[in-house]
Amino acid sequence: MEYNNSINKAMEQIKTEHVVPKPKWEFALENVFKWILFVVSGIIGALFLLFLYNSLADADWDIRPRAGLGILKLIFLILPPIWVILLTISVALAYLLFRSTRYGYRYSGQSAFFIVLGTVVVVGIISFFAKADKFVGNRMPGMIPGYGQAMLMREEMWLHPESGLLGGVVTSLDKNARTLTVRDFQGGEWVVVPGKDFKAPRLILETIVGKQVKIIGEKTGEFQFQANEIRPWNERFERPMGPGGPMPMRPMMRGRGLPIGK
Amino acid sequence: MMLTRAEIEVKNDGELVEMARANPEHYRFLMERYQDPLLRFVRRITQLPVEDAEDILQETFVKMYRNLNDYDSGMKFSSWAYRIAHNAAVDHLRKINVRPKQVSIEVVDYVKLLPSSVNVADEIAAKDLAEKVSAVMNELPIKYREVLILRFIEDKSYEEIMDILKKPKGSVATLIDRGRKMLVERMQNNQPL
Repeated sequence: MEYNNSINKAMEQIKTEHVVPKPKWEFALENVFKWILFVVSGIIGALFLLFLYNSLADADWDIRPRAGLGILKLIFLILPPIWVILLTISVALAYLLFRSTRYGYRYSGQSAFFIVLGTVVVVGIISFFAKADKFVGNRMPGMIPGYGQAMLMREEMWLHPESGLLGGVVTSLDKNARTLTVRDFQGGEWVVVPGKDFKAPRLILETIVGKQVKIIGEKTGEFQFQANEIRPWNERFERPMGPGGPMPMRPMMRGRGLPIGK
Repeated sequence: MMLTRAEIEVKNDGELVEMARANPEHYRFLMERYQDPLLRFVRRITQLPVEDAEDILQETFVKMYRNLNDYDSGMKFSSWAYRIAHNAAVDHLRKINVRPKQVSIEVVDYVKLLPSSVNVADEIAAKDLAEKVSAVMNELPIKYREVLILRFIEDKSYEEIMDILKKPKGSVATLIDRGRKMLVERMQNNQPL
């Protein structure tokens, strides 16, 4: 042996410093911990994705011309950049954690990216069918920065009664007079009557008082509004759940007026 | 139980690892098996004098022993050992913050770095050329130098280099390709073949 020097010195160091092999469980724990963090960041990414999907699906694309919004402006209103940045951060974190697992380095950057993205999408789809969108719709908003500001901007879209867009909370329902009272986002109290072609999801109408709604119609006078359509504010999250998932919003009640006195 | 040298030699790395885990004294067998290849490797990538390389090797052996339970059969033991040696060498270079100096080490193998189109007629010319390659190699960034050494001097496969450097196969291939081109370019510019 030409260089026994290193061996002897290493053996001496091992003995004098009482070096012992770290236990197997420490390495196993570290590896498991990385996988758990990867899964957690993947789940966070998936919930974000679901949240963004819900926000897009809930967007009132059809009223865009009436609200005088361009497509980009509407997308900006629906998906504030901070949300997209947060989604990107959670995916990037999942990517880095995946690469830091024991054999994560064996995957090319591209493969690892698609594995992580695929995981996030699959977990997102599973979460969707596992009714996690209820959580996403009800709990996540409070945890997401910029949500309040985004909601204010969205409310702004529905503060245009002159253009036929009115949003607010239904404060009362008068079955005899067949009217509802809606408090808009600036505190104005509106009396809303159903128009000739009025339509609204039946399930929403049955529990409408106290609900935040979006009304499409026509301003007929000072704080007077004729509704052609009433939509729940968060369409996807306000559906009562049936045994097989969210109950359908349809059939619409069309041309029959509000279910007042019926 | 005393083992003869012949008995040790027929044991594979996995068996020696198990023996070292069971009895610290048996760790010596693993060190003996790897001391020459690891010392050569450390010297090749650091270009440090043998005394410094031995210090790095000592540190490598202690780290290997401390992390012995981290080794699993998902990769070759030699790749795992080379990885630890590589990390120790790079850390050492970073710590002393010096460019590698050219020291007198065997250079003949450096001819392997050149493309097969470069024909070397006799042994003296080969040695002369190898010295030139060695000099140019020292000027290459370490990320190229280390892959070229692993691939062409240490004869490691792409999979082994991937495990040693913890880089995906595609990156290893790119580094080898670029490193080789850079080496040939520098040879042509500075020291005509």
